[in-house]
Amino acid sequence: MFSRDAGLLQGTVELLVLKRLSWGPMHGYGIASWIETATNDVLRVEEGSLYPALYRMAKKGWIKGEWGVSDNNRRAKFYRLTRAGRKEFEEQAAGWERLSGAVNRAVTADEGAG
Amino acid sequence: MSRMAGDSLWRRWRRAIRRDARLEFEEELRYHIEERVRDHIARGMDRESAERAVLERLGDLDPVREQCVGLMEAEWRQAERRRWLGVSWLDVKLGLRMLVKHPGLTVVGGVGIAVAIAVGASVFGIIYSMLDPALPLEGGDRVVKIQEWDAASGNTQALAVHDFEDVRDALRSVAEVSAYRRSIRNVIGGDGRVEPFRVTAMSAAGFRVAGVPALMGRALLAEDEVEGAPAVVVIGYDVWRNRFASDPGILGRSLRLGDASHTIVGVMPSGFAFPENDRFWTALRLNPSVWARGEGPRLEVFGRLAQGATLESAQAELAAVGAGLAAAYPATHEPFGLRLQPYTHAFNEPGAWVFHFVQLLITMLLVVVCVNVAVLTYARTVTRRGEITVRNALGASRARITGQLFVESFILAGTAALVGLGLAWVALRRLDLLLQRTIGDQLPFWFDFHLSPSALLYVGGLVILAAVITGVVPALKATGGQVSAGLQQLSGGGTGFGLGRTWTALIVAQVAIAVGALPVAVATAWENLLEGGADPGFAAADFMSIRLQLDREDPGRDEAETYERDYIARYADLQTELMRRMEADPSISAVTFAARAPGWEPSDRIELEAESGPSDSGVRIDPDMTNAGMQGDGLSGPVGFRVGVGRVAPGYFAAFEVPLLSGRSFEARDLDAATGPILVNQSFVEEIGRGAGVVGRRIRYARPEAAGDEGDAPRWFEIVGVVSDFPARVDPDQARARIYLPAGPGDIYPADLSVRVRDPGSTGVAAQLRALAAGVDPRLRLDDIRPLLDVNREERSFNRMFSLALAAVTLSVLLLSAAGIHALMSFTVARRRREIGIRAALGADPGDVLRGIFARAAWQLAIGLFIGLFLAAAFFRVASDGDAGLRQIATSLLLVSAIMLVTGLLAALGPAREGLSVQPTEALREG
Repeated sequence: MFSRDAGLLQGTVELLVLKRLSWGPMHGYGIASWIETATNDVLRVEEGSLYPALYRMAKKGWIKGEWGVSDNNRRAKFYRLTRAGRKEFEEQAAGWERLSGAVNRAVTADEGAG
Repeated sequence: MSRMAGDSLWRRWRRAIRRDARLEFEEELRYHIEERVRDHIARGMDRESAERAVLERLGDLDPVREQCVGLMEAEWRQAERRRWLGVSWLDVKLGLRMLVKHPGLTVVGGVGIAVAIAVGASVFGIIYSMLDPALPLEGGDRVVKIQEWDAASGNTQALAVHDFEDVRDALRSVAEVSAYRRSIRNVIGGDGRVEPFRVTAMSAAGFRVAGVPALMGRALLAEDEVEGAPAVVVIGYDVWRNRFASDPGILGRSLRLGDASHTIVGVMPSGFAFPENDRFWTALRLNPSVWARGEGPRLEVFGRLAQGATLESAQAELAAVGAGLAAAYPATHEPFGLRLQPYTHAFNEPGAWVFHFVQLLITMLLVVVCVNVAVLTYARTVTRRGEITVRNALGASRARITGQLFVESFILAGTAALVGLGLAWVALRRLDLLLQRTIGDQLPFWFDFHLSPSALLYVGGLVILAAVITGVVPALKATGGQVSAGLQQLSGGGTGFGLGRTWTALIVAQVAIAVGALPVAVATAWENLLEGGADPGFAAADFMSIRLQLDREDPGRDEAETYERDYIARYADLQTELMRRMEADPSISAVTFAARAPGWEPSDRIELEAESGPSDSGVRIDPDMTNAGMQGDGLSGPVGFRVGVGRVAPGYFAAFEVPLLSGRSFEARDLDAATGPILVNQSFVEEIGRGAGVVGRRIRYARPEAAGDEGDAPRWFEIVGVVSDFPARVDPDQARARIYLPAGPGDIYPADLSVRVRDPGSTGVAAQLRALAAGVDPRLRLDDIRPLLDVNREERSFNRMFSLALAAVTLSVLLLSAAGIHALMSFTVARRRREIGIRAALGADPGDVLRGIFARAAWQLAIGLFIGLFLAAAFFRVASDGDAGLRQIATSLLLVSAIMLVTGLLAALGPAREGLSVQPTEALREG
């Protein structure tokens, strides 16, 4: 799924997509580029994973795809967050924070702690 | 066929969706690739290496493509469903809100539609049950009935013995041609009860046509039909269970049918009542030699279409057989035809078109009701013009708004339909019970009034029709105007959707129809409902009414005359003996008889001799009376007074304790008196004798043949006494004046015995009376034992049900009409609000303005009333044959007119006062 760090948790792509779309509508390529930039190229999402994830999320009713015009004046399909998607994002983000904090605490703990 | 078409449509739709999804995915992917190539180029790669790098990175995309297209397809279908449900759910919610927000319209419109649908569904249920009932037997659709048929008159009849045998032997396309005839016999045996039942003598082949094997023992066999074979009977399941307490050793026991003993050889399974509604089957023994061709008992003939035969081919062959018979026996078979029909169709007397016509009329009733509701809905739609105009301007299409109003009406009609279906269900249940109770044994066993799936389908159609009339038509009308004009008016507050003359026409029509049609209906329903609860004026509850019958055989042609004579003599003797035993019975206080139950005497016309008596030249008829007869009662011949003619035993009035008012009552010697002594009732004295004494005067039948006087001088009857009216009230269709002729045992067949019992509540009365009769002779049958009260009650039950339905329809139409007038009137006056306001602003006297408005409203109502009165008079001529209902009709006419007038004027008052209170500036701005 991820070229450099294959051990990432399932559902991370969905969370990242939701995060990007929480700022406003974006097309598939834009979402992929943002993930790479935002993670300093640590995470690279493949097209073979991104699009099925987008379509699955659309089917779940979290996001909605609509055709629009991109910055360079080309026809592109933009995805935007639905009300259900926004709620989902908040839940997933909170969950991620709890999980990553816990894992982080565990990983960085000294011997004998706890 | 349609399923296949539906299937392929579905597939085509799915393929189209898939193609679109694929195209969309490819376009999205192309954008993605081009952007990434652009990105690489921006970072310094040349185009060729950039494209290569991107394609390498993508790798094999086929599985991804399939996955994405599949997901997209699923999402689209889901969205489609959600859109459908989401939108209509909103409409449903809006519709429900409207029902609550306008309770008046909901109640008035709902009641109207519910009643109309109840009537429609009931009638449909009845018609469907009668028109094309299925014969509930294996392959029942191939069972056919064969009848003699006169093509010219359309009359059918059962076949004579010889013809049945010829048809049976000749016909190839119908297998197992069978026959049956039914007669009523006292069934004695089992638990010892004596009860008259229909006994069916049927060909053994008839059981093979039915294809139902016996539950125990056997069905009838060909050898049972042979003259001299032991008499056997097959009984129905109910008989075995109720009369023989499900005795497992039933086979071989004997059962008496009339005076003949039969051995029980079989029990048929539960529910089997073929060929009509039968419980006892004996072998049909034909003895054609004693009959001339074309004579003898008639046989009901049926069979099963042979393998490969169709109705058409069988009918063609049958017609040829019929033609052969007609040619061979021209003396007796001219004209002669044979007809074959699906079995159950032969039991539908009136033609199908009658049913369809009735159905059409009923559907029209719904349309009339719906048009009324539509007027109300339109008036409401107009008050919502603001909402509609704004929605229209915001981009909601006319179709969308119409659709929403349709859903609203659909909810109203659908809710009303549920209520209507409930009413129909109750009505059909009641009708079914009533029929089962009164004529249940005469109805075919497959007969069942119920709401079939097709009735529900019909009601579904009615609901859509109702929703279209009450929702779509007003919506199209209201959304038809220019939106900009609507918006303009919205800002001014004026009323935009005017119809002017149409409204006036609607008001006039509404009033005219209500005043014209309703009073007769109201009066008819009222009269019938009153009648049902009327006090009969004598101790009817103590009396049992009994039809006394004696079994008849079919003597051959040589013995017919002597048989008939002996039969009458035997009947007279047995009746005398039975009455003697009844009088001696301590539980019976009085016994008498007549030709009909009290109050149900047949009508005829009589002439009253003038008071001066016959002149020298012969007869002088009271000069006034030749014009006094009433028309239209179906009695042809010269005019005369219409009277009920009772033929009663000499002790009849004493048994019923009917007081004698003048003269004398009957005596035994009157039976043979040459003077023809008769009694008359009080109504006769009042109506025909004009209150003067009539004892000693003479009457005769206006139709000489009524007294059996063909050729002779007309017979005179002398009035010897006057009795009170008995019963006190009679059916409104019957003449109140009565004459009574004395009759002895044997003069009337069958006689209607009236037995006064000391304990009418006891349950065993009927069984006790039957045992008494069977003790005199097992062939003497008491067919129809009912409390005398029930004779009247049951005869009127159908009338009552009809009247209740009529009353419900009438009331709902009246309610609707009143609401319709209110809506129309307030609407038209509201349209003139501005004019009223301006006139008031210009200093007109408010009284003058109001008078002007009322004058116009009253004018519209008056035209409606005037036309309505003409219509009412026309209906009255058609619907009434006497002056009995005149007062009620006049009363209801006044009532309906008053309701219309008051409602109309009140409706005008509100908007008129509103108009007067409008500020002049406001009124002027409304333009």
